[in-house]
Amino acid sequence: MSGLPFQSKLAPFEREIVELRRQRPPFPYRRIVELLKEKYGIEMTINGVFAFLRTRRKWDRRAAAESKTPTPPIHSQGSHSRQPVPPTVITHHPLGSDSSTAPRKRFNYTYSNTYNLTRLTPEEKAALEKRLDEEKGRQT
Amino acid sequence: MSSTILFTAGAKGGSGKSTAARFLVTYLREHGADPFLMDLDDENRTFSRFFPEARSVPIKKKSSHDVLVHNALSGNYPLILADLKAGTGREVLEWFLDVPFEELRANQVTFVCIGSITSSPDSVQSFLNWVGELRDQVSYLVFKNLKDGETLPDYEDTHEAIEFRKTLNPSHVTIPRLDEEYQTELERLNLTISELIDSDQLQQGLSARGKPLGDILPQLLVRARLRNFQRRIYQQLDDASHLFFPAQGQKGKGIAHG
Repeated sequence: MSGLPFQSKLAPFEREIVELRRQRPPFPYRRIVELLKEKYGIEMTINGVFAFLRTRRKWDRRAAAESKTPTPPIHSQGSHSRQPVPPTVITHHPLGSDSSTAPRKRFNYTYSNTYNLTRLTPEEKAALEKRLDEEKGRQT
Repeated sequence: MSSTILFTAGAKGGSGKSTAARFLVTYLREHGADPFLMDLDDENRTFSRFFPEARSVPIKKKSSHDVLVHNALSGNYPLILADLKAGTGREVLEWFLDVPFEELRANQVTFVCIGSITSSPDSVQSFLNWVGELRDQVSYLVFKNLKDGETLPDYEDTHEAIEFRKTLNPSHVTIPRLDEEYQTELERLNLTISELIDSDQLQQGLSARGKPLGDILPQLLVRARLRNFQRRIYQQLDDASHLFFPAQGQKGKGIAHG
């Protein structure tokens, strides 16, 4: 399949999956599949999850390459039938990023010419702030 | 010698980018710094209107921005404040993506990205576009300009903005809404508040830099209000002064303004 991986049903869970695989040792693909089933009722094969992340890595490498050349932004490319990835699940440096060039702090957002920010409810906002505070606490 | 490059970035037109830059210039000068001003907004040249001493840089191509780094490396300018074009888009951002931040940091050259956020969703979107690319390569100073409304939902309540605030620890300055009449007069006469309230030629109707003040601004109560307005902004800039005076910590702390 060519083009950007916009259609996967795993897209909303990319961040979570990436975080699991970032753990040392990495969370096994088998357990990720089980977790997706238990938590979200999503049926996936191990190969399916693996392929999803592999495709994202390819997409990320391409985005990084494009950001160094004067081409239009990613979201302005491609066919009209594609649905953009929700911004909350876009990850700049997912699994396999080159740690020597990766930034020390993550910020998960990709250039877009169109509005794609995700407004949160007060509950979602509080939960996100709590999670990020906890992550920061673990790092320090 | 170390050098800090402050640049306005990603701002949608009319989001208060140059207003923020103006306050920064007058704040820095009040604290004894002499920032080198560079006007890279070849459409409006707002910076040059307010500060004629600003160097107007003709932007013929992307590499025209190289002058920023050349000046920083020259060792002559501890502080450089560059006002980029409103609605600065992908092309200028790509210039920044070519910048070898690590190498420059080793040469004591650091960058501070100045954002200007209003209640307009586009102002947040366009700023985060830059943050998404520059990430922790630079420090951030965000001006929350309340000129169009008291709430900034796209900066306060969106996933992306919260993540930005929590992970990249930007400094913040809130610019309250200023009376439109005063704002219009200041813009019309190309005056900073500092020039007005520091003037010792009020009787002649001239600013500290010899510009005409018009009829409204020299009034006692108007000056008092503007002085208070500026003081509130300077007090917040004190908390961000580690960005401008890294070697001296928070230089502005405890300084009485106005």
